[in-house]
Amino acid sequence: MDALVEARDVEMTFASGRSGRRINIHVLRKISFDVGHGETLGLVGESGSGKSTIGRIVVGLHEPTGGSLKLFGLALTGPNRNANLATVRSRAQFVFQDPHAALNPRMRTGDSIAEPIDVAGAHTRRDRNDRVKELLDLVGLPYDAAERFPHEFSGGQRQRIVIARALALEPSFIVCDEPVSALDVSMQAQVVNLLMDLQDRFCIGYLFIAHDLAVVRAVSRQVAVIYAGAIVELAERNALFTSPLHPYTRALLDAVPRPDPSRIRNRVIVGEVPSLLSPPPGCRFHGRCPRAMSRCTVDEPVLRETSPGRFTACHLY
Amino acid sequence: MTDLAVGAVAGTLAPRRQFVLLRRLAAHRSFQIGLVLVVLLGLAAIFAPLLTSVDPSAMKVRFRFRPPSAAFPFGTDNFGRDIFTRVLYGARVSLWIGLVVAVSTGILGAAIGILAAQFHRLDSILMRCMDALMSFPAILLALGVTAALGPRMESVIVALTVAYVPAGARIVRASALVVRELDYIAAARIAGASNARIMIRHMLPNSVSPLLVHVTFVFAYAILAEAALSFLGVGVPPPTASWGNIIAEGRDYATEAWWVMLFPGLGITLSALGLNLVGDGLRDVLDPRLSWRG
Amino acid sequence: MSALVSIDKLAVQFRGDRGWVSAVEDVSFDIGEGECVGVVGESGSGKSVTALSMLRLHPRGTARFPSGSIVYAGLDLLHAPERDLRAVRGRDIAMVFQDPMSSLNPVLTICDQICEPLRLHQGLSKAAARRRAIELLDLVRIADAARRVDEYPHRLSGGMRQRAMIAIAIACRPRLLIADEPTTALDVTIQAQILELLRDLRAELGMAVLLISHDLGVIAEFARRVVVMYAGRIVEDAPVDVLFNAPRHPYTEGLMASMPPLEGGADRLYAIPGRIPDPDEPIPGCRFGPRCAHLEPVCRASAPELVAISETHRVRCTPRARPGVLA
Repeated sequence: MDALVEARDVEMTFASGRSGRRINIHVLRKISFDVGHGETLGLVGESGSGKSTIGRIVVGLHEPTGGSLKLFGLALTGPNRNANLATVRSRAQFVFQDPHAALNPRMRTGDSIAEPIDVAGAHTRRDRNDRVKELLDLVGLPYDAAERFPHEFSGGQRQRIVIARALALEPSFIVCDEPVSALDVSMQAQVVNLLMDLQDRFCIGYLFIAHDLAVVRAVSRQVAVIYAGAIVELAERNALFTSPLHPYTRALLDAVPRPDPSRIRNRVIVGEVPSLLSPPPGCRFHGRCPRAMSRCTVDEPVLRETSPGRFTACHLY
Repeated sequence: MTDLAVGAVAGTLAPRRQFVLLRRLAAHRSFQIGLVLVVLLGLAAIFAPLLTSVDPSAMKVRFRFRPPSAAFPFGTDNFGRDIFTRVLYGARVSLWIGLVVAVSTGILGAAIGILAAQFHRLDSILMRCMDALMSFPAILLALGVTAALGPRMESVIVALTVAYVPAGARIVRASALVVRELDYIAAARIAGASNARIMIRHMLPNSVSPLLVHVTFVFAYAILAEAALSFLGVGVPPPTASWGNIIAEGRDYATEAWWVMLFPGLGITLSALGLNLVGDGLRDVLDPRLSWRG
Repeated sequence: MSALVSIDKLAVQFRGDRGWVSAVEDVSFDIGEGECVGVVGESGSGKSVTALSMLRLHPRGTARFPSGSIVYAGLDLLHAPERDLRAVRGRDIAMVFQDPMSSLNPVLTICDQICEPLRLHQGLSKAAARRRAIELLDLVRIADAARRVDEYPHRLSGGMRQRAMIAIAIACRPRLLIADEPTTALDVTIQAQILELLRDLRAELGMAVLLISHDLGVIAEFARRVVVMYAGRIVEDAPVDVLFNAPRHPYTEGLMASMPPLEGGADRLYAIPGRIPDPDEPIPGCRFGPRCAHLEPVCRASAPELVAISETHRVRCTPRARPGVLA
């Protein structure tokens, strides 16, 4: 069976600046991954890694400048992009990070949730309103929420509304871009549980993008770590978390603060993410890598299967 | 830990905070004063025929240059026309011009601004046109248009709209550019919404608040501009009364019949003041930094 | 030993649409010389309001202090004249904020901004202040300090801007540094660097630090003592190991349980039901009551007091504060 999402060597370059001083920013380089039916692929990275861009590409907001991307088996790159996108669009949805920006403040909640239905057309008013009620119920909000405006809800409740909207057309795949980062800790658990319940119930696949490793671990089956526009490690989640291979993954895990006052802290990694405008040659991580070799400054490592089911992009393996 | 049913977990909704903006407006002192002024003047204009039974053009040469009295509350001019009546009827003209200019500026400005923000190539063309129009002082522009179209009330309206639209368009475009980057626009696109739907349903309602404030000021500017144009002789042509041309006609007798210029001048001042106060109130209340939750 | 700063029954109210609304009530705790205190809470807990109140940084007219006091060196910071407060701000008590981009003036160079407190409080000359600024940038581990000092904030990355903010804050060697969510806007690896920097600076300069965060992990790694706040009140106050190993208040317990463990093994996360109340929402008795799994009638009947259950541990929970109750 086709994977929900199949990305092979996807590249994304943004052009910036006026003509004559045009700069190309290579945000993504050779990104390859799969998302299976009803499964979650967690995508972890820091700012500038390109993880949000991947999410937007997968759902059709941007067209990749290179490589191939298939959604539900249909190619989103190449000559048939527009036609294919129109076909599969209703089955792929998006949950945004900032609940304050993700809802039109001048539209009633019910109308926001029903927008995908309204745009698709061909539904009676009655059916549409019933569906809105159904969706509100699914996400745990009372019926009269439909008449209210976004500012009348808390952050966690707004995020539920965003999820309700994403579910409107019964998608089989949802990109969750930092869905809980902007929420309070006590809200995060509620929304994460909701997402997992919905996955169980409706067999929805997720691309779960986050910087919070603990949350990613809780929801994902597979995890990909992305640094400066390239995937550096991809593995089944337990394997990745118990025995990380790539030095960046290790550094990331070390850096996460734990609620354990007695934990011995490892040496903190130095340096910062390199600028996308003038990236260093070879492996982008070599400037900060405690195990860098001379080869790392010259050759950029490629993501390869170093052991069954584990992919790493590092010269150490 | 027990598995809590999803439905039970979201918590109750806070009690409704309806009409937060309206309540804030109602509590705003300047806004109240301004609104009262504007409404009173507006009512005076609308009910002019009820407030005075005199014909504004009726000349009673016997009563030339009478100062304000019981019979002639605002006095008479050089033709013996009752200034009180002329000012009331003049209010109809001046306020009407102001209103139409404000509304047209709003509609056109919003349309141009949103289109410019949404379509990049159109943006350059539209904004260059707006820049060109803005480089003329409003009065000169208005002069040019009325000269071309002939001196009529309609020309004044067109001229002033042309003069004020660029600023409105800029304001809307600035807001719309910000809105365009927000997630709910992306969400609409993902849902498959057309450009038209995105512009009308999403960008327009959210870019329009600063325009609302601007439009109240345009109302005031238009009243003042009409007065200036009429004063220069290229505004509303006599014998139709407008505040501007009453003042214009009274100019030659300023020292003998000061009341001819005073009362329409007061009208202009009070309406401009009232509208400015209303605009200030709107601007304070619509300030995006004030949180919705009070 | 007398405390460096002593907050006693602080209450803060904000002007809302319908009158004054209570943001913080009955907040009392001390910060000792060189001590490291963490304040943890979610939105609406009042943690930032408390921090801003220590230096009276609220915009004029928006906040009022109906009761309580914050005493530093014999001065009640809540009611002192502005002149006295200004002598304290930036010199004895300094503050670092969450978002370095909006806390740094974008039209002034880093040098100008670091030199400001130096020249104001220490009367240094321009040249001497600049030398000191470069020293400070070195201290906060910004590479190439002599060149960076003349740059504008937008040329620096998030992590560097935060370091620059810290440099400004420690310029006059304050006795207390208040850090309000200093790492929340930063990446995890940068966050670790900044926390390490703060730890080292604290040791070097012997200053006390009040660290405010919503992240229990950050608090655990940094603070010696923790104050937990909910809906404008302190609900628990304990040394860090006691708090994490044996929390008493149901909210603290719930918070810890709802953090997904990095070690894995959680299928569903524990979630505290309900939502955080609005400040003006009337709730009888304990404000955490509606969300508490262990609610008892006494909790609704009267609001619990902050009670000491040991010399170093205070809890605001009537059932849990009873003597003889096990955690």
